[in-house]
Amino acid sequence: MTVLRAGMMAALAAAGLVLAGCSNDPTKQGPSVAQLALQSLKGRGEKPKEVTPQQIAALVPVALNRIRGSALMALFRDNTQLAALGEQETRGPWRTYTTTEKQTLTLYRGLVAETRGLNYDLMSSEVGASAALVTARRGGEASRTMRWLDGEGHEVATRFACRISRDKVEPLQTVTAGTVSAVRMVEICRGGGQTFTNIYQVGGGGTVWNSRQWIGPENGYIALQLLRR
Amino acid sequence: MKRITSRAGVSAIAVAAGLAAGVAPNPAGTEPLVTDSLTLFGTPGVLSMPSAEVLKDAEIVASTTAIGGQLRNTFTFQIAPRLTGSFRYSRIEGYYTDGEDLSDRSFDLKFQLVEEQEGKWWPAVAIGLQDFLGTGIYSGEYIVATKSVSPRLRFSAGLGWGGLARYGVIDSFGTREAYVPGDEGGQVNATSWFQGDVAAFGGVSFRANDRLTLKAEYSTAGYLDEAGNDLLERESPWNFGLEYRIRDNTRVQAAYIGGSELAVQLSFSTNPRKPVAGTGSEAAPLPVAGRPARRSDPGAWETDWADDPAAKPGLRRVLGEAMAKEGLILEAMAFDARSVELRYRNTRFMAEPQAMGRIARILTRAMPASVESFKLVPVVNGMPTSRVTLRRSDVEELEHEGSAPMLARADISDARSAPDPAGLEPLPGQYPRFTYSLAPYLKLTAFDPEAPLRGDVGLRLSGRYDIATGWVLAGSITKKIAGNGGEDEDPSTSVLPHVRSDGALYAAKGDPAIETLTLAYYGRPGPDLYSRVTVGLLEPMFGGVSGELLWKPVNSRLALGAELNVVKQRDYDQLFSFRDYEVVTGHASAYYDFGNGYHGTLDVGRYLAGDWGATVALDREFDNGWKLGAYATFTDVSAEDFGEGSFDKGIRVTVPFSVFTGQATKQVASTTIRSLARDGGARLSVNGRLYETVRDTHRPELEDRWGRFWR
Repeated sequence: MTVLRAGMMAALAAAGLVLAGCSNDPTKQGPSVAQLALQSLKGRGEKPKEVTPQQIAALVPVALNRIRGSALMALFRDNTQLAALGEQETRGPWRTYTTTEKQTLTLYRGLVAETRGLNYDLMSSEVGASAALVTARRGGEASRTMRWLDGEGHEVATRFACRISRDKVEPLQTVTAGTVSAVRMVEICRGGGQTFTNIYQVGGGGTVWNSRQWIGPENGYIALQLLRR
Repeated sequence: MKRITSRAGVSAIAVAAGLAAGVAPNPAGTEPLVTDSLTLFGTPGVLSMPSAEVLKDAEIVASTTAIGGQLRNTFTFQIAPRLTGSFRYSRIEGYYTDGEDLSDRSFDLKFQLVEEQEGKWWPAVAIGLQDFLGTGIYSGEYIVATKSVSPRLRFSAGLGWGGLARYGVIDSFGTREAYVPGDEGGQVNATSWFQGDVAAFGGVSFRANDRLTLKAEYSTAGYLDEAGNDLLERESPWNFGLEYRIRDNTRVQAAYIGGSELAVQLSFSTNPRKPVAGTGSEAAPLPVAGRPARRSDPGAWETDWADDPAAKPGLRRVLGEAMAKEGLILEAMAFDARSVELRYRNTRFMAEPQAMGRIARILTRAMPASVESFKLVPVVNGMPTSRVTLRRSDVEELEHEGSAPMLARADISDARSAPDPAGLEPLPGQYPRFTYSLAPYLKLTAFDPEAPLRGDVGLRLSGRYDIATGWVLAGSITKKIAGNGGEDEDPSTSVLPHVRSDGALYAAKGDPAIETLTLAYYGRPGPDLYSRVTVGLLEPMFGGVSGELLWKPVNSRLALGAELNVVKQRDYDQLFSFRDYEVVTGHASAYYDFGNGYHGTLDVGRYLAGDWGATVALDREFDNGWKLGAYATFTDVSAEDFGEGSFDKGIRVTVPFSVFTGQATKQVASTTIRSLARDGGARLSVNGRLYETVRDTHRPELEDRWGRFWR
């Protein structure tokens, strides 16, 4: 073997190690920066596609079969990611749902109050006043506070002034509760230089069946469908 | 030579005072006038001339500029909202009379004295020093005002001294020491600041759209080569440029300078406060589990479970497994019917409160209802540090609130302030424990005047054997694959003992090299006290014994430490043999957390070459793990004996991996850019120094990072 070839082998071996590394030390687990850089290079240019109605329809029976208890379906990131979420914990008005990938949504009476595992997570919210009006299917004014982390991990709270109004009444075909008479509620909030509009379809008894809710400046809106109460 | 060091000391104080002013909150909530447009020196400003503008707070910009045979690589950091610092490494073709190139390092500082205010007529005003360490070839001072006429259009006008007053001189006062080529440099030459010729300059910048900025200026700047001739020909005082933003963090600039030269620049920016990977996409924690109401289910609240012999192994297993999934290793636990104490190692989360928040939630799911008190004790290198006590009812009540109420109710104390709880037992299988890693390394001997990019790449095999609580046997071996780190045409001629300047010999002969091989014992000799004793091959160039004692109350922003080392120089081959040089070295250290991320360190003592002196360091730390800082060491070694640079100084940067990956990890990459590896003011580089080991789990850091408790 020539010196040149030996050098090349060594360089290749080194390149492989840069990408792989190798350790049993828990502090050094996880993908290396180089691996992630490679992924991001590969991923660049491929625009994620919007989820199709067929994909949603196909997931419903799977989700209902797999999840015991309450179940949700969610569309994230501009309708490009679809996930089924199962109830993980319920305490009082708070209910936490999780995906199999350990991403969670915590709802307060059907209103998204917290997210985890999505990046730019919504850390906590005070949405009691909005939830009271929305679930009572009544219009009115409410204020809500939402908290996120900044780039250093410091909590930043933003207060929003919201106007909630009652839109049309419409029959809604639910997945597990037949057809219900739902009221479309619209919540327009302003605060911290942001404006967002949440839409809820609320059944009798205050169940939020379908909704489109804003979870932050980076993550934008998510669409939720309650599969099973 | 004393004169120089004392003058440098005075200037360091002046700089510190300036920094303190820069850190101070702005009156009436005004904002500094900021830009992202750069001069050809990589600083905020017009082209050849500065403006009063600064960068956005904490912004870091790396730029490279080619202009008429000069290559300027600049790293600029917005140290504080109104204070900008730059470090530059330049190469000037044919600088010397014999046609040789010059490699030059320079430092700049700019302070925005007056901010522009909405509705007020006055402009922003800044004062600045260019290449102020030593009478370097780019040295110059200025006072400049910038006024925004509209959001897109800004005018600047100012007065320049030194290199900024090469042309268009309007007046002169005082005397200015001329630069002597071949001088050691590196000295703060404050007596020449704002002395000699003064010239008036002006500039304008117009932001045509989101991407394009157009600039024009009337320049008075000019710099000279060794023979005193202009480095750039100048046929006109007018310079023109355009700057284009390619991506959010990438810009190119082209300029026509002096009617004769074309300049091009490429720059990249980042901001530690805005990590590209976001706030972290680590998996969600488990939610808090509630307890049944005592009235409806009194059985669940009974306490006799604690006497059940099956409880201990059961809890150990359940807690240990749940925590391990979060990268948290349960080392020991104690419990009774009302409380539980966990001692754990955090291998994953940069923010300790995030680890604590996750453990607290796991405990709500694992502990019987009667357990109300959760005591969490982080353990680092076998040392229990703080004890954070949380009430389970608070965890239940505040899970969906912001993080501040939980912090208000958490009790943070020293783990040694109370005796260990009864029944505290280490989990079986914790010791001995072996961890290893094999990873590539890159060792740069950066900024060597003869070969700017000198270094080696290779593989490093590290191992760590935790023998028993606090006892650690650790080592690392390197094998070079490629590089030129061992090539040095000029062996060290230092008149001091060659404690650092023989780096090339070590790089050439140490292949493979045993970098370190040490046995260390870490302990808690008493409340507020931490200790370390390390024996063996402490670092690539020295071996011996190192002992350290640290006083750091858990709630204090101040820590005091003392370190004493008896060391012998290792042979160049970096195996088990030694050279003749022996030295007793050590420091008394004070560490202070000023708040807002500013952190100061003072080390006073004896350095490796036997010289006495002090090191002052100031770092700006971000709670996501980024750190940027600068240090300077002043010892009784004269500038002449020290050699190029006059005294040891440098800047250091730590970048957390998580800003690129978005994953929770404690891994960071650190580097120190020092002027040159010289022998004066050199400190022993031993692993496991206590302060950095301990402080992440103390109150100031816990408070700073508490926002991630519920993450």
